[in-house]
Amino acid sequence: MNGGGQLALILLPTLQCNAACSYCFERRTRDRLSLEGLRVLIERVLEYMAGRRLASLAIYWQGGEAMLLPPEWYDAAGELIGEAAAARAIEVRHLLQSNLLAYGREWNPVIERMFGNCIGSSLDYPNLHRQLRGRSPAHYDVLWRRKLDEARAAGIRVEVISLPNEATLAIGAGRFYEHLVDELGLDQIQINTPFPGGAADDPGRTIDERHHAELLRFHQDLAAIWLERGREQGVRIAPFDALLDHFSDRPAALPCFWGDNCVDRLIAIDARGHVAQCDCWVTSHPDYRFGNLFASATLAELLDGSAARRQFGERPIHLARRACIDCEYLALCHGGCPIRTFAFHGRLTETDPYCALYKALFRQMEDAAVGLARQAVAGRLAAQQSPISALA
Amino acid sequence: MTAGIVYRVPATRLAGWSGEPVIVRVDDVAGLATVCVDPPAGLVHLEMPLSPQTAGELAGWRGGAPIDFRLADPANDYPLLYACSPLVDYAPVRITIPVVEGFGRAVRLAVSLQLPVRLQIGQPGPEPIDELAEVLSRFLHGSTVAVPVEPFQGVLNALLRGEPFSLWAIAEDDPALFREVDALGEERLPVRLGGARLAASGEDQAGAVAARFAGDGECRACPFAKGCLGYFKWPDPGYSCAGIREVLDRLSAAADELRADLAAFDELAAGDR
Repeated sequence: MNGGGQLALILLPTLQCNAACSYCFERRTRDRLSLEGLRVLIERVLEYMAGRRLASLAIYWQGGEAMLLPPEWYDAAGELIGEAAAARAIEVRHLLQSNLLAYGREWNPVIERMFGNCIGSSLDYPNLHRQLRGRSPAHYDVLWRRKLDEARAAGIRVEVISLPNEATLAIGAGRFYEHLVDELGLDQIQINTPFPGGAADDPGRTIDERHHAELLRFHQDLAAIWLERGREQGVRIAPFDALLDHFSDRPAALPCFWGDNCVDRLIAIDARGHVAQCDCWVTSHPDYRFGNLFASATLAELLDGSAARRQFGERPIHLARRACIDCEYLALCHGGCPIRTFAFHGRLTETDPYCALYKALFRQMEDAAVGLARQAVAGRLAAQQSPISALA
Repeated sequence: MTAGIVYRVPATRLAGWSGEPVIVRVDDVAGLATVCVDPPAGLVHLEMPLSPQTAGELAGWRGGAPIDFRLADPANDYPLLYACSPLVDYAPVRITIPVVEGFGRAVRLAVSLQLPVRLQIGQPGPEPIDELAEVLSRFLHGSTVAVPVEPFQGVLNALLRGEPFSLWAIAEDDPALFREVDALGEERLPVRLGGARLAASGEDQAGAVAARFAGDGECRACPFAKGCLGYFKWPDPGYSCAGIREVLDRLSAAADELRADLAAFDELAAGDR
């Protein structure tokens, strides 16, 4: 019998991409995962899950650009995975992350069937980095907007991940919110903190340490705007919404880097079978890969024998021996994100470079949750004391 | 064996166990695995020391029985708790932590990993008492603490409901409820009471020990004496309970505050109807 645990798998069926974003940290190749290859990988993942008594698998399909494989491929992949998982009584959920550029109506059936009629995409505002080869970010924006409209017209829900850049900080949280929510009508947004994927002089270095204070202010302002305007209108902005849920004693889906240890819950596999901690590691840092699943008899053997993976597992232990143990928000964070840490410090055994930002957000959303609870009680008391309620 | 008593038994003495409630002591993960192959009827939980060696062995362990991990050196070994957190998906896990200097860090990490805690309080000196007060404060008011820390949880619940309680029972040290069985199969008093071997009239002997719980002097003026029953006067009857009293006073004040909040909530809910 399976336990209650879940495994999140970031699966990169292709490392090809139809965009040429200037901040991309991925080392792109022309590799594509065959259905036969997928069968081998999935069987080994499910076998591992059964051995660890893990009950559910969330597959995050990413690339490269995931939509460069045809919809028929996903149809077959979904069927193949569904059958293999059912044989082991493992529940599977599929989530698609795409730049939308290859979207067309031929995708609609599989998006509905396999992905719950939902696509996650990326949108930066203002856009400085997302572009096609030889074209401008403005050109990309036009294309993306067209695809967004087409997908929505087909009833597909589009959620976005946004990465603030220097221009985002310059326009401020108010204008950013206005564009995404009021102008584009997006109601599910995730704000990611940026980090360079490669060397220190890599173009992926979008915001450096000098801007951390501004980035903190941007997050705080955006959280305040969301609390005031968006929350009650059903707009969700991650991670603010999850933090508010957490501090309001509601179930909360916190980001992968806020947990006791992402190594216990998450892996990434690319089209060549390389396994690593997440997509950032599998595509950018070959030295930190755990191994190749095509070359290993089992995933358990690969993971248990990986010296690189041991470093990830030991990271919170190192950090707990230092400053993290005294942090009042230890339960939420445990030292933050390994890739962000590595990108800034060149080693894993440091705290996340956004530690101060996280703590400020935790405090802000904790205060907000307390304030909202008090407001709710005061509102109920006022309603009970009003002359209208006395007549009811 | 006496009905209604939970026995703490080494795995080596399980052969022929006849179904009384039992806590099985093992030394390592191999011991866990052996017991889990054919768990005894009446198994309450397994108990294993958490040390650098045993923590290292836990990586692949996914057994289904509840486990109480015992941290002997909490000040130094608290990071080992990371080895326990993946296990909560499979069965209940609890961490038993002695109240010694530096134990607060272990509690902080355990509750941060959503691992319930049982404190072995003993007769702590001034520094562990300060840490105990800090741990209590976090237990009562920390926004990220969502798991029980015993004996705080048990005492708070009793005070909140105005129910009688026994600190000996909450701490799992009451000889009328818990007994040890040693490696030779001899029945003994709980470790807190020195683990003395029980004579043939074991119950009477336990009763005689219990009579000493009433204590004297400081206990007579203590509002918690009925629930505490001299718990902190054991083994040294001269131990000063001043620090412990402050902890219990704070628990009592928190219970009053919580009771008032709950009453206000009931009033609010009634007003909605």
